[in-house]
Amino acid sequence: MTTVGNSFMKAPMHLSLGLMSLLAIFLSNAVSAASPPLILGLDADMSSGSAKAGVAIRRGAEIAIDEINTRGGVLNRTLKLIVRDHRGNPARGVDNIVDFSEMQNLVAVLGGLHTPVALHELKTIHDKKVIYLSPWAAGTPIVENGYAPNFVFRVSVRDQYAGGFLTQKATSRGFRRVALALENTGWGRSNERAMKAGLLAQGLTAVGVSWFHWGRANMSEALNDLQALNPDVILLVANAPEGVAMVKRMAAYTKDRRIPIISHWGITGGQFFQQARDALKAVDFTFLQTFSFLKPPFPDRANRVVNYYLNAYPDVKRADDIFAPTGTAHAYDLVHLLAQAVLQAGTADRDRVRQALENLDEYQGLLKNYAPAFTVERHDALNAGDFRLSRFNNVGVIVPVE
Amino acid sequence: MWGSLFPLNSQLGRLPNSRRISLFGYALRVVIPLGIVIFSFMWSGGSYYLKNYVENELRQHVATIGVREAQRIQNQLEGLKNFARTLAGNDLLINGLIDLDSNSSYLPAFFYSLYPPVSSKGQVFLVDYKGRILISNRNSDPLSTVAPGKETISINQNSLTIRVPILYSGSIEGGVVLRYSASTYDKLFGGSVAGYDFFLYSDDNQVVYSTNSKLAETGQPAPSSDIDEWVQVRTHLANDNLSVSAASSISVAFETLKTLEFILFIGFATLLAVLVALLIISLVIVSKPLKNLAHNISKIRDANDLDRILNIEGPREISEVASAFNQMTDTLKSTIVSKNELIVLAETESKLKEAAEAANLAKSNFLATMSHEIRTPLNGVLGLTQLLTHSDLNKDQRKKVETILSSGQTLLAIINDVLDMSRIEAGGVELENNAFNLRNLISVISSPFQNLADEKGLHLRVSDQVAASLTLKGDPVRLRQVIWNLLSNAIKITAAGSVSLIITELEPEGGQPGPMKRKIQFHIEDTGAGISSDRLKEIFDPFTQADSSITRKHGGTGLGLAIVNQLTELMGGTIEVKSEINKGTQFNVTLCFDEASEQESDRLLESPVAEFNQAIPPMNVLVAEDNDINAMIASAFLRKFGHGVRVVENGKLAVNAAAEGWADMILMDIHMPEMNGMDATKIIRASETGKSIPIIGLTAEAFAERHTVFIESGMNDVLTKPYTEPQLLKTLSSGAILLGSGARNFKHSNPPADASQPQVRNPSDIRQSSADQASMALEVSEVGNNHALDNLQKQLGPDLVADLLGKAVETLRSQVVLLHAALGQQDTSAIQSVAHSIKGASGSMGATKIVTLAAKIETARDDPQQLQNLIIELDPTADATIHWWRNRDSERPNKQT
Repeated sequence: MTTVGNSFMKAPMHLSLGLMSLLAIFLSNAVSAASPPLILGLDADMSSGSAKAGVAIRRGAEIAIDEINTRGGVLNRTLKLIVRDHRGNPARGVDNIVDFSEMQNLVAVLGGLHTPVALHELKTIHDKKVIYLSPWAAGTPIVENGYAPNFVFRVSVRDQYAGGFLTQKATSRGFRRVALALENTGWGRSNERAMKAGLLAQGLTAVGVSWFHWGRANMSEALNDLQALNPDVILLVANAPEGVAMVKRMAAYTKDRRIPIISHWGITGGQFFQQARDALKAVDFTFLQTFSFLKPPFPDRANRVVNYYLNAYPDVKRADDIFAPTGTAHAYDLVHLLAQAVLQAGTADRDRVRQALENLDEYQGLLKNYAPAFTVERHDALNAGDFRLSRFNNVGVIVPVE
Repeated sequence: MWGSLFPLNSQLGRLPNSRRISLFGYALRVVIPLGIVIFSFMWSGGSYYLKNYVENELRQHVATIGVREAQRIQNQLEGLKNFARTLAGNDLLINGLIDLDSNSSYLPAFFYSLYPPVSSKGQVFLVDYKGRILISNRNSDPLSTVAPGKETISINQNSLTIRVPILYSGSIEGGVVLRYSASTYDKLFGGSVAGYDFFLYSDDNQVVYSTNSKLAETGQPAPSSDIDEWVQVRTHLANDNLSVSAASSISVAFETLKTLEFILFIGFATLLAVLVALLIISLVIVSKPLKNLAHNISKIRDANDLDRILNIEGPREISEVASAFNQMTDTLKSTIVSKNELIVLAETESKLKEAAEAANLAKSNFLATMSHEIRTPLNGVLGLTQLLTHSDLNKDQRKKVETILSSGQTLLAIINDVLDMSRIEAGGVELENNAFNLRNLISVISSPFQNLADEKGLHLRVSDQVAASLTLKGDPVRLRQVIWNLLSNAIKITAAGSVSLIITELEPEGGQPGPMKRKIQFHIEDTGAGISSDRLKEIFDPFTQADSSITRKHGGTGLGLAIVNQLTELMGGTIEVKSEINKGTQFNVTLCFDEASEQESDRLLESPVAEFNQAIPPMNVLVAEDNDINAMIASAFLRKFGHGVRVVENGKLAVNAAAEGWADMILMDIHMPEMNGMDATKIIRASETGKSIPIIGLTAEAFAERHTVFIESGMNDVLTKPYTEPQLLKTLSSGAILLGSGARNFKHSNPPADASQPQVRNPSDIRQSSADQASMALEVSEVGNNHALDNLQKQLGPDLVADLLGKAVETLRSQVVLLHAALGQQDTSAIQSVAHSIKGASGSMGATKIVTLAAKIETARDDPQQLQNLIIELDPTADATIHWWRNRDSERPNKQT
């Protein structure tokens, strides 16, 4: 016993060090052998003016990922969500994409609400070959970006279609003097083209276009300019902060001068209802939506998600209260579509997965039966037929207008 | 008569012009220098004050300007910040941050049209959330990344940079940066107040901007605010991370001050000149009438004419002096006669007093002289009577002779007291200041009285309540005399009962004396007859006794208490007496002494014996000495050292004793009857037994030549008398070494280096002896060497010394008688022999004066003329010696009060 102890004690130090490093190598091999999770990034405003949209997207993604992981993951690998906040700031967004691209096992990145951010990220997305899934940002050029291969896929509104849809809804209500109020960004300009095209298709032109800047808290100037043109409806393209300012300004007009606002859906990404609650009582305000848990196209599928949602996120007590529901629904479907593509590709290699996304089988989603969702030519899964107008009821629940 | 009235006046009257300073002199020597000094003080003080004042004013002014400038800079920077803030709040810029892909359509136009405040050279940048530049105005140079955080302002010597964040929905999404290069600093910060310099310092204390590169150079650390020659006041702008300071040169301010100082100087100088002029004018006005006055007064003095009257003229003060002088001469006239009478009276009185004092002195001198004159023959009578008692007498004759002796001794005691008293009165007593042990002293004084008390059947109680080790400094002889007198009086007067001596230490008063002061009270109490209160007052007066019958009954001169009183006073003490008839008398003598230092105490205790004695084994020593005293001293020392002693009286007996072989060593006196020491030594050395015995010569002769002769006779060593204990020990120890070594003669074992030198054991001994001789010669004016006697007392003990002293007195007396007889018969050899024996015996008892005299007589034995002169001194010297011994003697049975 003593002899053994002594000889052990006498063993050269470098030998034991060598043994330990060997062990370390085995251990690290074992860890990597247990297939690391596939990473799905989320690059959205999580804290600024449209943070609600970001959170809604995150929840949709989380529910889908949990369902997938519960089934055993994809290719025996779990999915993991990593979130980066861009606060609606394109500079931050680009930096986030760069960060994500440097992560091993990254499959794709889910985007957020902001079209300007997405537009500014396009170059980096394609430089780094990052699959960009847009559950919200509607700018037409995001998908029609000129890159080939195109790494952007969208389950959301496309402004080009929204412009047609919103102008059609306006004229269907008998409005002829249509004015446009647009944020002075790439998204605003994307809608300008779409709306003007939509009006033109109906033999109309906009009576006026007013551009406003981000951060503009007082919309008097923008609205006064338009009012001077005597419009009977305003088509609004704004996010929540500027949307609130716009609605408040409209409500501030005398009743006879107030005109209805038909809005793009950007306003639902933030605390719009909470901040514009009083003004909304005085203003005829409807807006574009794609999906509602209150009137889902496939109630079974929707109920399953709602139940999951209410269990997982106790801050929401009823289906009515699920905020920015389109964000959650779009993200949910996109993650499932991605998982199907990875499965189909049989690899996590992003270029192979991109190809698989362009060649997906039919998929029964929350919003629709995608048959298929994307093709090589078509990276937008939704079209105008999937759109509807909605409004806030008196407690802020988004309810379809029909 | 008149002349004497103005003795001073006549002196002063001639002095003033020559030695005293005139009024003008005062003005020139005192007032003007004083004026100049005051002027200098005022001028330098004034200019110092002005400088201080100007510097303080400047400091305050600079401080005010500094604060104002700081405010101006703050306002300027606030304006720039406001500009940047306005830009940051502009939604065009916010939108530009979001609309990165298309902002080029509106941002460039906006930025190119921007005109930044103050200087068109100012640069404006829009940066993204990480500080990356999105766009800038047309003046812009490239800017390094500046991340927009909270609003900041940073400044260095190159540029001023203001950053304001752009907020969207509560978070920083970009920023506006405003930058000004150093070339715009003059426009931005340039000092607005002429005559003052102005500086900006960054928070790390670097000079950012300076209007005066001499005082502060940009890019360098900020200078200290306390540099000479300029004043700087600094204000910190907390919000803007910089300090603003204004400064001004003191020297510039002082330039103007110089003119002011010059004006001040001229002003003071003029003032001084005017004052001096005024002084001179007033002196002219005053001095003329004063001179007249002095002239007139001196006329009166010179004429001795008190009837002359001064003219009243000049200023009021001077005419008042003249008037007062006139009044004084009037008064003088009336008082002058009586004063003269007084002077005569005083002169008479002082003459009488002088005469009385002279008479008293004459009396004291007379007494002293008379005492001497009486004592000389009396000593002769006593000496011869003593000799007579030793002769064959029948009973009747013996009784008569004893009566003569006793009466003579009484007479001598009275004369001694009278001599003491007259000495004290004539101030001839000087106190010693020697260390002594009080306990020892008391025991020495009191022990002889024990016998006396026992004889009378009295109880003598001595209570010494002071510490046994208490060593005091003072005159133990006088103290002894005081206590001795009081005790002997008490015993004499007390018929039955007791006598007490109680010594206590009292608290020194008021803590005033130092810790070394000891206050001792000696309380002597008897149960004698007592003294009535009316006589109590007189008992300390000379020649007074409580009862004249006491003199008859107990004898005494009546001087004892007077001497006690005088000595107590002389020692600075007090004496009190209380008495009650038939109950007894109490004396309290209170004296203060210094406590002896530790060294003095130790010296008193130390014994030189141990040092040598331990080296010497006990021996048998033969002492051949004809003089009793010297024999006693020698044997006392030898016994004390533990040796056996045998004394023989002459050389013959010494030879016989040596032959017996008992002795290990011989102490051999030189001058002895029958056979002298040298002859005896020669005989002993010739014998078998005495060949190697150490023989030490004892001689009163200190001269080395004589010692050589003694050594040549066969002695090993020579010891000069009187010797001290250590000297004897030393000699004994060298003798003992000789004894051990077996060497017969020391001189052969240690031959001298020079044959002409005396061959003594140790040349230093001779030197020592010569030194003793020299010190004796020096002290010849004194009767005896107290120190030598003190030593003897220390070495042999008081009792033995008391014995020796008694014997010495007796011996000296007989020797004096014998010497007188020898002188009378002109027997030269007898004169030499007696004189020599006086030297030997008295020398051992420290009596230097008589020894010196005896030596002179011995030397002059063949010269009758010189002997005649010396004989005159013999009795007084002998008396003085005996008196000195008695004073030292604790046993003076013949001393009476």
